[in-house]
Amino acid sequence: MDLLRTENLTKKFGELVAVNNVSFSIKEKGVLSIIGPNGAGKTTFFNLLTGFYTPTSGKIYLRDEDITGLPPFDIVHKKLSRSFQIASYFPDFTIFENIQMGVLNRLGYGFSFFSNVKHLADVNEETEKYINMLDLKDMKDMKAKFLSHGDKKILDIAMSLTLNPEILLLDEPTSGVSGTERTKVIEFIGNLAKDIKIVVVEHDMDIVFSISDRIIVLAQGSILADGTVEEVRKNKDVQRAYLGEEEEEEKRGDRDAVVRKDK
Amino acid sequence: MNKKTNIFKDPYPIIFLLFFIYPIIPFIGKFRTLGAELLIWCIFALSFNLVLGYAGLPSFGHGAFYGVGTYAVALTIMHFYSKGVIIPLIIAAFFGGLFTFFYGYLIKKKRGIYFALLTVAFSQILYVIGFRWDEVTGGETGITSLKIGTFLGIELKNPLYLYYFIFFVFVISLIIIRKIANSPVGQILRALKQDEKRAQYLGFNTEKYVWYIFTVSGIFAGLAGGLYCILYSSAFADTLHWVKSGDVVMATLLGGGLVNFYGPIVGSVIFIIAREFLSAFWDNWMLLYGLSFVIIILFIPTGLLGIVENIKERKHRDSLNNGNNNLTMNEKDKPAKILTKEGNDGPIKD
Repeated sequence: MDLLRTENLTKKFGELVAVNNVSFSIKEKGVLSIIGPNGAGKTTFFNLLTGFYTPTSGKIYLRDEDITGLPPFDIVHKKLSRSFQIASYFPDFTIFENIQMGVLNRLGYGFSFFSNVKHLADVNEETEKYINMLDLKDMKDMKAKFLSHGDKKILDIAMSLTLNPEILLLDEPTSGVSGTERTKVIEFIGNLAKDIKIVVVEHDMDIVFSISDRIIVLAQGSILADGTVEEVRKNKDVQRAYLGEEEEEEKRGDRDAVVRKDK
Repeated sequence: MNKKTNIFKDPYPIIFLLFFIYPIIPFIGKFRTLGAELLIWCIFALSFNLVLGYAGLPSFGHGAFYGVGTYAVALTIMHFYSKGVIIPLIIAAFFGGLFTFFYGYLIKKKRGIYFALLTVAFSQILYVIGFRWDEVTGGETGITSLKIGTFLGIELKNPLYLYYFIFFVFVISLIIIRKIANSPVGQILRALKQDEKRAQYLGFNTEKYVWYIFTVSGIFAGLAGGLYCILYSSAFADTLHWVKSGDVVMATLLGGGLVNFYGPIVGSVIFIIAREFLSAFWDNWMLLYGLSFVIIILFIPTGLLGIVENIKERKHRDSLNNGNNNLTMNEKDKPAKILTKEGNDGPIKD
């Protein structure tokens, strides 16, 4: 049984075909990366999978159950969660409260009008578990808005984890994260992939090649290539459409460096 | 944590005590009807704040549901039951809830300016009905000289008894509203105010929460309106007018309802005092009140209790800046260490 499968998934915005006839399936654990140039439809694809958009045509199956057109809050209950390109969290909540939100839902307190949210032993215990797991112990009472960019990204991912997903979609988890923080985020993802399926959209090819078991290349809304790191690397179409650009950019970058040196 | 800090964090026992001794406070204690009206305002504004301050929904026509409660009590007493006050009040709360239940269902998807305009429009529809439907609502003159029944055999003609009856309803209302505010639902409302999409991706059907909390606040708005009718033995279309809705929005914002559970009480006290005492000196008191509102909101957008929250936040940040651990912070917020363990500060504190 496939964990997640799409059949001829298409999304049109007026004349623009953002996702064009995409059929793919994923199994078991590990990291699948979705790459492609800007505007290739990667984020739209995520938005379709998680119910933020309804597809124009095509179907999405989660463990053979048709989830096409379900809203996000139903889909996350079926163990498919996501994080966001721009870290998404509740800025005025403490880290503890941010993590607590998903736990509240999972433990069935979503419509509890009269219990005191601070005195729910099971919720607090479960929240602490995540806090400890993420090593956020010292920061748990800090308001999320005061976190560094990288920690915000991790918080975003951690919040998605609280619903115990089997598949986690990460939308550019390292975008805007620099240096050591980047390594921290990548390590974090690597650890997660031991237990759950990670699907990641990422621009940094070094990261993609180092963490992925499989890569799907999207271009203009369609799948251009699908395979292991080596297969994708060798694929001529991919080199032309995407990696080529990167290499060119790199060359340009080198040239700029030379120019700077000259100065 | 000692008891003292507890009471400052959640001062409802002090509020209960103050209102309990209100009738014996020199000078203002004589104005019992005024005190009672203030209590009614507090119920209305506190419940309204679940929608405005907690869920962040600009319901600018909330006075409509207050007005519905007023007429519900008036019509019940006039046509069906005039012996006691409890049944008319339950009917008022029921109709307040019924209207918000149906209207909330219609507008639960709307946000921002659309939500605001739809609520204002609805209140205006009800106002016109109240103002024009002479046979039922008494039109312009309203319904007056109602015979108010008893509560547990106690005659409520005596303003002191009436005051304590309203105080009793206020105590129960505050306890219930506070419970909701501190519940998981209260926290979810504060979350959806900050980032609705994120809340949805944590599995919360945010539209349902909007709908439910709108209904809950409608129940209390109806109840408060019903009490108003009992207090003045009459019902007027004025209560349905958008000005009433505007007043509660202003009082809630002025007091600091956006950041503090008790903001609406502070705002209501200021509003009632301004209305009663400024108006005694100058007919155009609204000018002063409006001006002070503008100034306060310009300089402290979160309202008066926002000052307290700002101080707390500064302390929080200072405690972050004083330490030094390996956290990397934003440019503004240097390396940090958490010293406070009591935290859990959300956008709204109680």
